[in-house]
Formats: sequence, C-alpha cells, structure tokens
Amino acid sequence: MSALTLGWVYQPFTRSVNTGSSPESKKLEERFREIVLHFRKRAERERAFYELARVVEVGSESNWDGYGAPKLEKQVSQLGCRFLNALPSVIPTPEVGLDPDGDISFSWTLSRDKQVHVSLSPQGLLSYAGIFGPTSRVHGTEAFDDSVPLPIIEAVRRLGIQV
Amino acid sequence: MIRYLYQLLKRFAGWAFRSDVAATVEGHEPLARFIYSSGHFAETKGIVKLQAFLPDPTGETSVFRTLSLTPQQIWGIGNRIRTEKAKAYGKVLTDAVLRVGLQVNAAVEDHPRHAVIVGWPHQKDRRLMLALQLSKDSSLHVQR
Repeated sequence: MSALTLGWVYQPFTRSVNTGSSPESKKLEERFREIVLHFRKRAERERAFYELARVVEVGSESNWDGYGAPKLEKQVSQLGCRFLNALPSVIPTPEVGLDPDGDISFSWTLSRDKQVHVSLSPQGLLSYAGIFGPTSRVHGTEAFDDSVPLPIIEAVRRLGIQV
Repeated sequence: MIRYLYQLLKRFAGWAFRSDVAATVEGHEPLARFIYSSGHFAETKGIVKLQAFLPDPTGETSVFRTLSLTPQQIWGIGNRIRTEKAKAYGKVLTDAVLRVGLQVNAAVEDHPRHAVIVGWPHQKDRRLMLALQLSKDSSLHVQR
C-alpha cells in the first residue's frame, strides 16, 4: 500500500528525488513528471505569444529595421496567433520575429548550420527554408489553413530539438 | 556655413575611405551588414539571423565594404549612416555571396564604400534559403 500525504507543505516540491520504491510511488512520480512537462511546455508557448505581441508592437511603425521595412499589416498578427495555436505539441516552441517585408517569422535554431525558418505572410502563405548541416537543405511554400503543413513539421523534427 | 562644413567633411571622409577600394567589389572583400533591429541577431548563439540579410523593399541588401578598415572605422560607418547607432553587424565575404548566386554591386553614390547585394529571386522561400546560407557563412559583431 502507498499513500501520498499532503501536509501543509506539498511534498513533491520539497524533494528532488522520489524515495518511494513501490510501483504506485513510481507511477505517481511518472504522472508528476508529465504534469511538470505539460506546464513547462505551456510556459514556452506563452513565451512565444508574448514575443508575438512584442514584434507586433515593433512592426507597428514603418522603417522599424532602419532599411525602410513596411508597417506590419493587422491581419498578420492574428494569423501568427493561429499558427502558434496550431503547432502540434511534438514541435518545440519557435522564436517569433519579423521579416523586412512584413511577414511574421517563426524560427528554430540549433546552431549556425542547423536552422529552420518559416515566414507567414498577410495572405496566409507559409514560406519555409531549413538547413541541416553542410549540404542538406529544404525549402518550399504552403498555404496555412489553421494546421501546420507536414513538410514544415518534418523539417523542424529533422533538427532533433528536444521538446 | 553648416552646409559648407558638411560638404568639407563629406569630401574629407570620401577621400579618406576611397583610397584603397577598387571600382568593382572583389571576391576576397569582406562586407558588413549593419543591424539596427535587436531581433535580427542572437548574441548568445553568436548568429546573424537570416532576416538581417533579406532585401529591403527595393530588392537590395545594403552592405559596406570593410577591406583594410579597423573595427572602429567600421562602427563609425554604421553609426553615421542612420540616426540611431548600429546594434551589431554581420560580416560576410563577397565570395560567399557570389557562391549562392547573388551579385554584389558597388553603390558609391551614397558612400564610397557602399555596395548592394542584388539578384534576389522573387519567391520568398528561395530568398529565405539564400539568406539562411549567408547567415550560416557570416560572423556576428555586436556593439559594446
């Protein structure tokens, strides 16, 4: 028999190691790890939405890059939100940025020669490019219909970033 | 008076910089792309993001030829050409630009060391691919 005691201090947060050895205790530990991971992922996604809000603010004025970039169109921020919401949980959270032509960008960067970049245009077109080492690369264009196209998911997964 | 001083300064600066720059941009010449947006480089990873190399609305990427210039002289250009100071610059060899199929043309009307990267394809995904390759081949220098 095993019991999880909830004292006035919640025990799992006071220990870094599970000292229980019963199967139930191991199961609880596994469940707890899942919950922590879930919240960590949620926090990461929240960070992306925060970045999106920041880039929308930066792009609200023309010439935000010093090279004559146009002002961000209003609908692209909503599309950006929808894109982030559509990302499957197996995909790590991207960095959100702005392209000089007014597209919102989502990028996954492992190193200088392992990167995937997706640009979302106000017309709902997803242009993507990725490099995976010195010779391997991929690029293409897909329509965004509230689901992330498979070639983009495959390109990001190819980077091998741990979620 | 101010106009006269400006003309004088412009002539002097032009003369000082013009001395060792060839009329056409050569393959071994390093190019600096000044960055004014903090979102276009990642200091912790030491990466110039591809957005920094994407062309402006006229289809050109403005760069400066930095052959034989000291870091102070390079920052001097980046800090003078805009009202705000450059946050960073990406350094890439002309050969690396030519290798991906783009061209580098001198554009001395604005500055004796000014040049532009041209020949960008119309399709966005192909532009991203070329800019990614330039990002891969460039080094990041951040203003301290």
